[in-house]
Amino acid sequence: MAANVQAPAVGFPPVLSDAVRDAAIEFFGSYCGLQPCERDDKPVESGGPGIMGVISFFGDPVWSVSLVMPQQTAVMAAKAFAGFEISFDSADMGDIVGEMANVMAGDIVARLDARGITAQMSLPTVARGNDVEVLSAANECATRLKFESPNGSFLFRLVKALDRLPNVRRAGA
Amino acid sequence: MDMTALVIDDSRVMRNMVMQALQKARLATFTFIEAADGADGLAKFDPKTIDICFVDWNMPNMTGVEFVKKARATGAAFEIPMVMVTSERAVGKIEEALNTAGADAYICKPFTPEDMQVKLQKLINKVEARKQPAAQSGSGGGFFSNLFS
Repeated sequence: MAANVQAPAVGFPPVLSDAVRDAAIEFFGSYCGLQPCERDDKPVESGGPGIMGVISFFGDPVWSVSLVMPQQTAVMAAKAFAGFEISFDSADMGDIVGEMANVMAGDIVARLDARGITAQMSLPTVARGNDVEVLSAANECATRLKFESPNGSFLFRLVKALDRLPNVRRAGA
Repeated sequence: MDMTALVIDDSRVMRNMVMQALQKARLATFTFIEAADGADGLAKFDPKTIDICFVDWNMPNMTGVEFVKKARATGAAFEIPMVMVTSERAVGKIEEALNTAGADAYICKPFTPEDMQVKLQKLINKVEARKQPAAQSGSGGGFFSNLFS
């Protein structure tokens, strides 16, 4: 039996990234005072403290979205969204970033639902630290959406499980 | 009118946001009881003291919709308004909460005090109407107030 489980070069489904993009512009523009603008041409900034809220979607397809914000953006967005100041190092910061990811995920699900794509969303997971990077397993395809605003930058990491591994050869095939 | 509201959400910050929005909406003078998930909410749910419930959907241990179903199943809670306050905004979810589980209103996150006012005014009026006869009969009301109580 021979198996080659390397991921093929597959594009991320635009219907999913479009839903995330639209939900991000709506949410951060309307409720976080950031007026975001997508910047695909700029490299992703790395380093320094940041926070990340992750939500998975179960259905067809199975995928996840990670909202990644540097400290400055997180503090500004949290204050605008919650209506009161939240310290970056507090437990409440994890709480509010989870809620922000959750609210956006609800909007994403509704946008996909309107296009006939059903999904159930998970509870959010939040990670805070320095130089946090999201790594993908070999059987996933992924993309990034980067946004800038006068009050800070943020990005989304979108990861989708492949439906199948096309290079796997079954025994006897 | 004084009211006791049970606010169920696994996010402490979101519970604060719900309580602040309700206070800013000036629909009533609220006393709040907080619960961290559906199971905690069910443990704190007393139909004799709670006038209205605000319930998130996605929570660990017990979801908000399960809470509403279980609270309704007790029978004693049929007239206590259950308001879903959730990020779930797909049409099917809204129908499930309102038509299947028995929620009375549905507020999508994020919300404003104005959203609360618009969506809750009728429910608050109902709670007031339910509470007033009881208050009158408690202060020695006449035939009609006794009838209503």
